[in-house]
Amino acid sequence: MTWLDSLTLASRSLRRRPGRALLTILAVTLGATLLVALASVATSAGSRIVSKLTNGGPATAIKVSASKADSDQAYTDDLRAAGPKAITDAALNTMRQSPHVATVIPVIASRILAVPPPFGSSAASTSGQQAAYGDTMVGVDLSQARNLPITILAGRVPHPGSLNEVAITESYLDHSGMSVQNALATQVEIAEPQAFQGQNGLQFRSRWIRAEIVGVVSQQVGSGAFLVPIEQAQFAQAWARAGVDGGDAFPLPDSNYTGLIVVASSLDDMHAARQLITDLGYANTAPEHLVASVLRYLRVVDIVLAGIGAIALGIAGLGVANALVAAVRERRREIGVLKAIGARDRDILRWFLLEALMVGFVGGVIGTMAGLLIALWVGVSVNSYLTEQGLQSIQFGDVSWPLIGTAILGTSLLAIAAGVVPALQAARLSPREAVAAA
Amino acid sequence: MEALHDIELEIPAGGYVALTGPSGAGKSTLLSLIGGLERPQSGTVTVGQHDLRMLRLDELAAYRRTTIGFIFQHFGVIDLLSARENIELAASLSVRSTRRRSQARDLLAEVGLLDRAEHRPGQLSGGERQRVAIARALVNNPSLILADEPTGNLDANSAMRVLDLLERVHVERGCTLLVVTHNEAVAQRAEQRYQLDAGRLVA
Repeated sequence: MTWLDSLTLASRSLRRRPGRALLTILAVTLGATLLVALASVATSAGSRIVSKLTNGGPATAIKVSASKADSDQAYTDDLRAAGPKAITDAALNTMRQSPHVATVIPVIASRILAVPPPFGSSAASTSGQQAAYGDTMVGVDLSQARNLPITILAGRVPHPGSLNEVAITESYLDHSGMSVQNALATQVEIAEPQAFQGQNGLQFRSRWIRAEIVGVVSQQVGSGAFLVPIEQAQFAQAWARAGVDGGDAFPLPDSNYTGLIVVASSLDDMHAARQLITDLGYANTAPEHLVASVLRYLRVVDIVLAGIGAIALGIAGLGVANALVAAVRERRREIGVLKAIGARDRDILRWFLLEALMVGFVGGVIGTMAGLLIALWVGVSVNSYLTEQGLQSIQFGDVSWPLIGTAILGTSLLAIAAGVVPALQAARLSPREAVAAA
Repeated sequence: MEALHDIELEIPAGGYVALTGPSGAGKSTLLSLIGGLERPQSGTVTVGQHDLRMLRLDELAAYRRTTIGFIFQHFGVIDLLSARENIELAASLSVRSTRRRSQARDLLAEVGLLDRAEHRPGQLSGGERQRVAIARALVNNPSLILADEPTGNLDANSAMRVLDLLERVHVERGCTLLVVTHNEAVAQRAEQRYQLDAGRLVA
């Protein structure tokens, strides 16, 4: 008997008892729906919690400061700085070569003077014009934005390498009095200062740029209201270095880099990566212990939810087994006739297992779709509540292909497993007894 | 429990034999033994070159597939499939898929049911169902046809048509035909007849 013959027999057998087939498929559907909905909601909520803990960056991101580490640094998530220490290219390369480190992203912060629109004012505030104020411009390689602790609140981050785009934090909005929507696509004037010895002693002059605000972000890369491509910050730093030391008001930086974002290869590599950084003498901070602790709790939640889903699927499996046991009892004569005309045990086995597979597959597909829809509905409801409470919404309803594939494959395999015993019973029926069952 | 005792029976190749006896005499058991549906607890059953007691389960299935054509009182056609599909299913057990359809249609034509090829058993009369069963039994060109009360569920007219068909097949194909029956009129048409009573051959 070919696979196609077995498939034809299996599908026709299901159609002979449509009520029973529907109820069995419904049981599998409900199990799959529950499992997929729970897994989807738990995954979204879990990743959101971890994302919140890591300020939008990867859970394995470590912030390195241009400071000496104190002796307790390795034992705490917090920054334990003990005086300045320049980040050298040699140290940066050592970190990059470590097997525990996935990537190292330098950070350069520059002191600037910002002037929100309308322009034409000086540093002093005049009527109807915004006051210039001192702030910091934080430059990073924005092609690696997904590895950085940056959450985009509106718009986007500047294009990597752009010299006339900036993203701002809410701090700029407070200074300018603008709303998020009003600030987007407007321009800001930025003065990059340089100290020089003038006739009257130490004086300052500025290199002015005008940049478009392309996004509003919440960022933990460095302290500053402006997030820019690292090239902008490098120009500002080079300009400042071309001058003289500005003393307490505007000291020249000791280090080429203000800090680093080091991304460990995995959560398991996190501690080793931090240890390496600490051994190199740099103070650093990462939610290592916090994330590990939260992940442990999330794992417990996952296990509980998976247990609930597994119980539902187990009941569905029993439904499949029960339906097949009844089918074997009903089809004893057909089994006998097939054996009498030469069908082998494996032909009968395949017939019933394919029937179980079809029930599992159809139930799995419908259940998975229903589960995703329920997860989406939960997301809409939760987001509606969060928005009412003035909180940031959660991204739900992402289509997780591995989850979909696992759910459909899982229910199909479960149905086959549930069908094994009745199918074996059918295959091992004595043809004489089966034929005599008339 | 012993169903058959001291049976010594030789059926000539190409013969037409009727096996009669009251209910519980062991007729169907003997048919099952010859058809390879079960194995004797003692003694031997030899069909052609096959010593059925020595065959493994897969070999018995192959024996049933290639040597035997079964016809049952309850027809044994699968009601999930059309007449053609029933025959194709039997063919699929040993014939390549490209030949199955044409072979099924040839056999339906041989039993006079070509115009009913796509009908399900529920849409056929008892006589037509039995003719589908005969066509299915012929699909692998068996050397021995075993018919267990082939007319038991048919009216007299249909029964005669089915018997005529079986006898025509027996003559045209030269296969051995063993018919188990209660019906004296059916038994009388055979070339040889044996009678079983309480598991023993009495005539």
